[in-house]
Amino acid sequence: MSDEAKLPPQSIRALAARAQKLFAESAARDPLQSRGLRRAVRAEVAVAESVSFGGTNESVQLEVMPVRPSATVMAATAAVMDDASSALAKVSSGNASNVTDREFLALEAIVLLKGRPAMRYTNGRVQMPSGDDNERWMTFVATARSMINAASAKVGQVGIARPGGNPAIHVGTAWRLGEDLVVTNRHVVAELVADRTRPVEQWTLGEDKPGVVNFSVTDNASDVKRFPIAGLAYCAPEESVDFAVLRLERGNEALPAALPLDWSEQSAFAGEEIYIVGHPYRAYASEEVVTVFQRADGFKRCSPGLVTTLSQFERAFEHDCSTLGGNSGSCVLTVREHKVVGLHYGGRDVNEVTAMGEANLALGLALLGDHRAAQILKDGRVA
Amino acid sequence: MGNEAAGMPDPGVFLKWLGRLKERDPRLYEELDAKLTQRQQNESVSFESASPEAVTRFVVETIVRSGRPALYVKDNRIDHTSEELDQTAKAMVDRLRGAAPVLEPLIPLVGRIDVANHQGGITYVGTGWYLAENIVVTNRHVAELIAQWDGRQFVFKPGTFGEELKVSVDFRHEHGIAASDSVPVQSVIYIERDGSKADFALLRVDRKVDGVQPKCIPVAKSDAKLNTNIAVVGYPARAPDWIIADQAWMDRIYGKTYDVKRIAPGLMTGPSRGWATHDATTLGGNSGSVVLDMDTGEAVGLHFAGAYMIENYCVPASVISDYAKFGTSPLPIPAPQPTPKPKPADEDPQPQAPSATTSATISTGEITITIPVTIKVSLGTPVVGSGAAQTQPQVTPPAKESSGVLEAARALHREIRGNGVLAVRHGYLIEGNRLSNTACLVVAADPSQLEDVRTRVPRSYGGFPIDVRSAPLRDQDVEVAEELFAEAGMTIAYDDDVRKGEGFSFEWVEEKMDVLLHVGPERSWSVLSDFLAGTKRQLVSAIYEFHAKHIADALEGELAEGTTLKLVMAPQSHDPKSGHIAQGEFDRSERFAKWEQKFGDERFLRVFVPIGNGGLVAKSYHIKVTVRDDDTFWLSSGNWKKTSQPAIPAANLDNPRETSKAGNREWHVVIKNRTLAQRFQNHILADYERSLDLGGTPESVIEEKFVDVPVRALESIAFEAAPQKVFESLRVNRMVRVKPLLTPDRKGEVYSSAVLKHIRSAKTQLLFQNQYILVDAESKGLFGQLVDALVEKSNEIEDVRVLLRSTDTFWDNVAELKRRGMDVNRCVRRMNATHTKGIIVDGKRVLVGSHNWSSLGVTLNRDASLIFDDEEVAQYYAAVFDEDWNRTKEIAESVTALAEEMPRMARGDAPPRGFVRIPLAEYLEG
Repeated sequence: MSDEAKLPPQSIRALAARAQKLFAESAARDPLQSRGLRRAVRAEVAVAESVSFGGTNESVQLEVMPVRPSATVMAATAAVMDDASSALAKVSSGNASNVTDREFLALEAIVLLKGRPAMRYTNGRVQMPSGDDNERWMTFVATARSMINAASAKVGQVGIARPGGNPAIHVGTAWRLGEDLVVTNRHVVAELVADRTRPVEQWTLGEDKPGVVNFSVTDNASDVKRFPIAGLAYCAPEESVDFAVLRLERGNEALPAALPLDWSEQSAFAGEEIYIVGHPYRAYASEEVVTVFQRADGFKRCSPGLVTTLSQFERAFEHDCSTLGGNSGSCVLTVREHKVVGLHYGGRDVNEVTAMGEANLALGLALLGDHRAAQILKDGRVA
Repeated sequence: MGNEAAGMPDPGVFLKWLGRLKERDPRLYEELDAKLTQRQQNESVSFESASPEAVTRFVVETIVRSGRPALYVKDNRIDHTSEELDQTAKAMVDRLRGAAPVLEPLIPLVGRIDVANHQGGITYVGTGWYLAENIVVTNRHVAELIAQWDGRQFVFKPGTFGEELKVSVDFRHEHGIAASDSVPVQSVIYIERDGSKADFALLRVDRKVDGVQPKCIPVAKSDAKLNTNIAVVGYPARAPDWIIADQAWMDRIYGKTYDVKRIAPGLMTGPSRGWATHDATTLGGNSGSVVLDMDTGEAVGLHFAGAYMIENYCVPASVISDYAKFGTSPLPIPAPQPTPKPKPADEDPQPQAPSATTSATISTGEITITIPVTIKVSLGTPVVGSGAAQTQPQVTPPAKESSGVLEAARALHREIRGNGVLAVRHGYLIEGNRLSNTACLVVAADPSQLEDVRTRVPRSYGGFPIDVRSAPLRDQDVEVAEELFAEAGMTIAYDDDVRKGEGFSFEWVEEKMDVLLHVGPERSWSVLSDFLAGTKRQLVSAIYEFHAKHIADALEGELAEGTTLKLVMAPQSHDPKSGHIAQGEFDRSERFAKWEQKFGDERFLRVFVPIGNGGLVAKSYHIKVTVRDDDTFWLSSGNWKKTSQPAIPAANLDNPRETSKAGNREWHVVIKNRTLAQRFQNHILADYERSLDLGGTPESVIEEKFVDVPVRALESIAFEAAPQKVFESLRVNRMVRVKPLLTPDRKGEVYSSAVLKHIRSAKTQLLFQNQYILVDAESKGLFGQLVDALVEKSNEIEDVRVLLRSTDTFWDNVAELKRRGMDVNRCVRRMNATHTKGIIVDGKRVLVGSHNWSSLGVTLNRDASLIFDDEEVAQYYAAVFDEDWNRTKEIAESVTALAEEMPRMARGDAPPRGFVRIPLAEYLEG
């Protein structure tokens, strides 16, 4: 089992304590960074609050922070607090948070600061990376742009819808399977369920958290493809298989087509060129985050890299694509054939301040063995 | 010629112009003459000691800057304050001052067509002017950069990164003045899409008329007469180095200032190639400029192409008026196909004024104008290979004669053009079985009027005998004459900028590789079919013409077994518009649709590459490369047609008589090497992506032209004996050194610089085999440099052999090679069925590939070649070359000047007796 499983039980107190510690440490070291961290703490707290309470206050903008509108909820919550301690106090006095330790620890990571860009899209069209270190990926985009675009159109942002045409609260990423299904992480689904303390088989989506999957969260999107989440089709019972399937309400509009899958174990071997399509988001923009992502605002990104090794977790492989929170649920595609070889779910040994980590982790399709998830993926439906 | 190699315009052109000026504009002539003399004295230029090039520069600069300036416009007026004016001849200054009241009110009606977010990264596309209150007229080749036909209407092309393309016309853009007067272009109303008709387009702009300035420029009721004083208003842009190699020269003429409004005075010259011409100084951005009559202030032309100041083409007023009738009728017009008065040269309405004194100018083949005599002599001295020329004394055509004959050809053309005379070129008389050293004038006659022309033209002119021959196709149809396209300042949207790094590199590769050398027709298909059959996963293919059914069947077999196929094709691969599928060919539309349906659009992908202005390449996506499973590739000179990949029955495979009858001589290679395969694959895939961005589609229609070819030429004229042997393929598996080359990368510089080096490295032997060397007296830029390098080498070393296909321009091209200094009787032979494009140096290094030798073929078309630095590889192809050389005859044995042996553009419903009608592409490409 994973290291995460040995951690103390999930609670907002643990989150608060961690944040307080980080805050204290960094304040002593670097006042500027401390300011940033305060925001980060506020944001983390806000995630807890907004998810718990459905996020109602959206009028206040957070200064300086490079956030996209969905983060204004977090900002709003944080803004009512004078500082981190009062924020933490307020939260800790409230109900149990929905934020799991696993989520916190499974933060997605930046593994390499150079040569692992995360390209934005303009109206569904992936943009050319810049810089001397990204020559390989410039070639990739120049030679495969239409293929990347086609695959990426089948990947959407999982959010919690808000009233009044406000952008959804960003939760994670999902991608198209058969029928009207999308695949995402178990820990993403956890943000949407009514009561996550219940056993998984009893999970139902919370009515106060109207989920939505938006396939067109890119710059200058002209054609919005946004579908409400109808229900939870499947969720792996064990935390170590971070796999879940959601059902969408398609209405009259056609869903993007399903992504093709690659079941060969070879495609998950170290050295394989891959790319991740997802929606990285991070409120606290560390220097490292800015270097790779500029604004990690949850908009769709294409993050190319390599499979580094099979991880110690039997069903996962490691990779070095640049990812952040919000990438949870992203698909891992091969550069060769643009087929899905894995489901990205988190990072290993991630530094919460910098977002740098040792490696990222993805469930390998070929490594799922006889787990029911494999059958669902193969069938393209949940029997 | 030295000046060609340096990229200087041919001085003969300028001297010709100066000579003619004596009658046309005596005042300016005298002033220029005096200026030359004075400047020579002032600057102590000694023509005796200065290099011919320096003298040329001096003369040309003086002539152009004084006599044909391009003056700035400032605050909508002709700028008489600029220091440029000091250079300008007083005759021109006075003339412009005199015409200012007429011209200046019209200047604000000429604007620069600006673009934002253009995929080609350009900021403006040309010039345009008000033809009506809210209608701006420009050229087709300008409008094509911004708009395309979507089946119903003209729509703007997509901009960069999914942004909208923004087009506007700014009527200022003056030198040193920040003011702007810009109106947005709302739509493209009309583009004349027929390339043989006027280079004409109409834009609709959002304009508010103030009632103060005139609404539009009136178009003259009748076409301008010869020697009418005119002024061209427009926005000359820096010409790229593939057009004007000597950028420094251009910078001096234009004071390094481009893209701003200028007014350039000049005279109307005679009609040429069916269009009106003028001699004002223009550059690429002038496309769409107005040609104004200085006396009347009326538009007499729409400028569309030019060769420096000397021969500039414009759509004449009468044709503009024909189009304008459509353009100014209630809008929008319902997609009209106006049929303006055709302008074949033989019906030209412009009065011909064969000058009685012209022949006096050209009396002995020398220029007898009264400029310092030293200039005349210096200009004529060739600077190339002069030392070597002495070792080959029989090969030195007198240079004085060389420029004199060009001059005489132009003068004769002016006098006799029309009525079946399509062109006059220099050439050499055929005497006995050899091309003699006697320079002559070759009158290119419309094949149907050959006899008329023979009786009409004199036997000699300017001291040169005249030989009337059937005109090559390029004189008969403007679309075949690709150089005209090049001169028009074509812009392609090839994306050099993203093709960077190892994945797209053209560096040498020295690695262990498995190389399969083979030649056609004998082993073309047997090797290609094995190559295709070896596919495990994927084929990525770039092909000019894909017509052969047996190749389609083979690919379908691979698809059925699970292969992914990506095809990047030239429009020439598509079904002809007529829908007629020839025997042995397949219905591309039907078959491709079937594949897509059967195998899915993830397994079978295709695109037809957009060509022409604003396209991926200029004229031909001419490459023939297929990459298999990321690590092996096939590269060839031959298309996927039965002539290039004939399916020879197994029983005949070892019979040289049978194999040679089956199709073309082609050189191919299959290489298993990941580094090289990846580079080619990346380029082809990037072509695919870029083509999609530029509006390329899985369907394409190509307007098919036909040519009537004499049956005799097709069937019975054997230039070569049958080969004595069949060449088996040869496998080499070891370290090999190879350099990949592609055009249009860096506008041809990648190919040309490597091939120049390749040619110049020859110490003992140079073997050259190509479809053609489409060179003429005007060929310059990179192509001119390549030809000159070949000629130079032919004078340096004994064993230079050039094997060319028998095409309709063969004799013109050979004559030009001779004029440039090649001993063509020694060096050149012709072979009917050769289609390969190779150069072997010293039996040690060899170029193999698909690059034809023409101005666009070595620059802006898509082609692929390889240079092997490997003796065994070179020797393999050298043996094939030797066999071919030895079975061909010396060139002069097969002169075909008779009309019945030359092809002609198809006219009427059926070919004349003794002719067979075939598609033009078939004739040109084989």
